Amino acid sequence: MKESLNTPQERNHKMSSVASRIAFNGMMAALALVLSLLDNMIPIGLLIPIPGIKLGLANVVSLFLLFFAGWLDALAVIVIRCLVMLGITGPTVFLFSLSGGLLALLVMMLVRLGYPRLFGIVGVSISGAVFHNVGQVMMAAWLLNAPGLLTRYLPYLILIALVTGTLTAVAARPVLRRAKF
Amino acid sequence: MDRNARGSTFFHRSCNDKKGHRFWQIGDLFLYVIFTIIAIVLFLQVTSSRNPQEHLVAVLQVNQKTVRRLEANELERGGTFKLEANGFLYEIEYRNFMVRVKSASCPDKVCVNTGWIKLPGDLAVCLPGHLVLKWENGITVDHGVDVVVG
Repeated sequence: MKESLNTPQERNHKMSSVASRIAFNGMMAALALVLSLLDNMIPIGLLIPIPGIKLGLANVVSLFLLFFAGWLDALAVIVIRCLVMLGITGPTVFLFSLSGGLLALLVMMLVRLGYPRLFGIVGVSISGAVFHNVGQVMMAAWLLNAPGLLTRYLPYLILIALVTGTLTAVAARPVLRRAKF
Repeated sequence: MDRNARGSTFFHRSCNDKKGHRFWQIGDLFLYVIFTIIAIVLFLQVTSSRNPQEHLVAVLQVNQKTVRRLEANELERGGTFKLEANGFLYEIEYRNFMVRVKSASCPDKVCVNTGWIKLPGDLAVCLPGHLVLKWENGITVDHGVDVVVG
């Protein structure tokens, strides 16, 4: 199977000016923020009683950026999103978003190394979703000094992440297909 | 979805769009299997270690410090108490060796939604109030200081 996605460096080169890149990442940050706020409205806490746990809808943006622009842009958008969330929702959600987002990005970067020969977009996405949840619960366990949180809820979180990760990939697919690069 | 992909197999069409993005790959299936196995193993491990045990006490922690321990005789007798933690008011209920956060003034109510905790490994947490309700081995009895009881 031929390598169809260009490298992030090649794509960045096409986004020739710094201004357009900043504007593009600004739009992505705004989109990620809206998805994060939407995420806050979904009462997943009723299903998994871990405070602050989220589905990770904003991972759609991270996934898209990782393929479209590169890890640096994805990192910048995650940090901007979390900083704005800090002002809106407070430090707890900020720490959760940041730990989940960064761990998810790190793992997605690693799995993306195997793209497209070993893993597809779905593989990158579900890995990100699983470690997004792991990152959040690790943060909660650390903040509350309750390591039991991790073992007690991790099985459910992994299974939920497989579903949300697949949905994230399905959501990102049409965007990636229509993106001009 | 892939109008330009006529002539290709269904699998090919479902894996690749017209730009050739690789949507599915065999390694993805491997990831699904690995993550599912990890989840099942962890689940079995946690459930197998959750047999009811004697000498367990319910421990209430605020800001990582134990503020109340409920011994077996108290847990059997039952009762409720209120406490304030980081500006939020909580009502804790216990009976028949079960404990729960009955009501809370915190914004997300995750601790209340957790319901009764009754087995080792169960815990209820409230992040806004930095409150943790969990089980501990009660061999070493260490009465903490109650915050507000009323």
